[in-house]
Amino acid sequence: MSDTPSASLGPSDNVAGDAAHDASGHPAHVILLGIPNTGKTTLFNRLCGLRHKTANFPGTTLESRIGSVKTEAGALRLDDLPGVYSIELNQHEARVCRETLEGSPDAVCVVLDATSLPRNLQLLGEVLRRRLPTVVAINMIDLARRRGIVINTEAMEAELGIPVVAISARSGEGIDRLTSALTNPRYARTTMPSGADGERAWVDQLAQVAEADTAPLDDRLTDRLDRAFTHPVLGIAVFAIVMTGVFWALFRLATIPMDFIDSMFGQFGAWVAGVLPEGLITSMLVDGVIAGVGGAAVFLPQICLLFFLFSLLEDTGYLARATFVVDRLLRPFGLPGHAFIPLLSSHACALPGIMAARAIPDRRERIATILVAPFMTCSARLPVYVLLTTLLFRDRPALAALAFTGCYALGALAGVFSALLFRRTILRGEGRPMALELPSYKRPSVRDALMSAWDRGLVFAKNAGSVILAISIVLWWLAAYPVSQPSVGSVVLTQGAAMVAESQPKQAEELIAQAEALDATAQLEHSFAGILGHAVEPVMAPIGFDWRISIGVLSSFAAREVFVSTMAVVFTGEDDIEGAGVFERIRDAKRDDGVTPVITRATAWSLLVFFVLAMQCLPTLVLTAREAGGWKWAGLQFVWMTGVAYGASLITITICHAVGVT
Amino acid sequence: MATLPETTTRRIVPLTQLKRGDRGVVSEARTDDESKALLGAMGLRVNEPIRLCRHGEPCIVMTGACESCRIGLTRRLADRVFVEVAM
Repeated sequence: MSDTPSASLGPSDNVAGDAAHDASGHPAHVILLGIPNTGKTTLFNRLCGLRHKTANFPGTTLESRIGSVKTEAGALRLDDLPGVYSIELNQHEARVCRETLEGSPDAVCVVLDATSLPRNLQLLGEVLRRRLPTVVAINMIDLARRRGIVINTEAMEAELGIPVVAISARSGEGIDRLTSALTNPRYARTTMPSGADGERAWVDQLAQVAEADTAPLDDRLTDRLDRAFTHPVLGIAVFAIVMTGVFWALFRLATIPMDFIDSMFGQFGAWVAGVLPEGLITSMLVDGVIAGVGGAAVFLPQICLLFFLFSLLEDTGYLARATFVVDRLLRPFGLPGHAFIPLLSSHACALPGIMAARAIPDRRERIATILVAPFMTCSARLPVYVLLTTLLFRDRPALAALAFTGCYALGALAGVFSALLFRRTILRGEGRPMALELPSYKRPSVRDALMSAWDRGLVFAKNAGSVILAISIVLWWLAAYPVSQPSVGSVVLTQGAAMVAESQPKQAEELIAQAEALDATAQLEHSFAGILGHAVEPVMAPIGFDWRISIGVLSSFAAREVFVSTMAVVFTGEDDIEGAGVFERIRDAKRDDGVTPVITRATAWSLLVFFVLAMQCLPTLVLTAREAGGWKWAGLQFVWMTGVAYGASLITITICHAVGVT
Repeated sequence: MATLPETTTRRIVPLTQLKRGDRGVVSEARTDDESKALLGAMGLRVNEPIRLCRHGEPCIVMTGACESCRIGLTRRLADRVFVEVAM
């Protein structure tokens, strides 16, 4: 193998130079590359810790993690490339790897799996063929040792002429040596010849040099677990138990920090309102910025917890098996098993769900998943479900719970049947048959799971700080302008309060509160949002919505959770649904005729169905446009979901009237 | 690169026709070029020895001489991967 032509350097000089800095003195740019399941992410986390950021590769939706590694020679910039089996494949991920390598990085660190070295060598050969300064990290050496696999790194190093370091990213073994090697990469003396036979011979010969071959592993436990986890019945039962656990954690454990964040934003808003002079700027900050960002930030614990749990599950090796279980369920609807993480994530929030769809290799299947992900019941719908199911079943909690569960089922069914329709029409085409590597079962890394949760949380927080912030300000503006003058009733109440202020201060406070509530209701009615509510009333009337409900529905197109507080303002002038008597006042509110209730039982059912199915989340539309590759997909998602919601609400209210539910 | 002994009778069958524990050598993948390249890069390349761990959906095989890699395939794909087995 040493006869293979060497890199175009001097006969013995294969030193790449000081890799800690490039020619312009910037931190050297090191690429981390490896096939999937080699522990590359664990190594990145070990080397960079929290000194990293998540960004997209230029012109793509593929995520890249860029970190900084501290070495004795200075800081290195480390780019974590997506795991690929070969950089020559015609895949999105492989193309990104090729383009990055063509950008002449200062060094490439190829991560190999010590427990199955021969099948990793193909990728190493492809990198060496590109004649870049390289370092080899043979990861999971501790696991290999336990399995009786011995790897001769010295012989490999002598053969290739590049640093070869045995490491365990999990335990930290060999990391110092690797860090030192990264500052001193080498050009290989040998590269893989071209042609299938030549490549095969090179890989076999290098595997022999490394002495990596070993007797077949008799892993009966893994065989048994695989059979159980992918069994048509037992596999689904295990999957249901695991997912129930995930849901329980999401909706029980996450509520503690969610309530805390909610309360913090509430207190902060109250503090800002108290410190700043009353006026539009204060109103924009408190009701627009703080309330809007707070409304989104409250979901941060759920998103972090969701990705923490998924990372743990993935690390155990279970998730790859579960993908096959779900594939059986989703395939009849034209979706792959890979779609289950995006769809499941969407039950917390559609934003991380749509981002998770990046892992779906087939473009048509990926777009179909993105289009239907918002049908899943996200947390933002829950306050609306609570309000409406309570209106419907005030003293019958069992029926309310049943209706609640029905909402989840309706959303999921609408999602999969929509996917089927898309896959049979505009996204027609045979799906890519699935082949997945099933990694070994192992104890998950809490450290990696925390990093994953941190990364996802950061991406969501950035989104909340940009798109959601902008939308919140627009929403506030629509509700705050044009500014209404105090109504006659409000003026009378305020004057009355002034007259009894000294003799009966408590009653004066109550009168002022009533005046403010009247003003708030009048303001919303005569605002642009109110004008829009009146304008769309003829369209909404067939499904039972008057102009007041229409304001709530329109405002919730920015974010669903806004509906409840908008309803509270419209009907009571207060924005807290939990305030004394607020719920009853919503229930008892009458239409303009003064007789018919605004929210009848039929209207509540119609409204509930509408909220289950409608596309009412602008940040999701923005993300769909970005991830699916254009606004036409976001437009289709909006029109389809809202159309389905309108049609289903119309059917619901018609049935209600037909069976005498009014 | 693995081959079966010269003296044995050989048969080329799709992966779906193997029973649990059967061993063979990959003969051909009758799929599109993209899937073929991916399977090859994952370890299911021509002349690679395999052992069937699970029959059905998914079909699970161990690949390589040291059986260090476990790959799951949908039945549709497993039906298109042909292996040479001794009878």
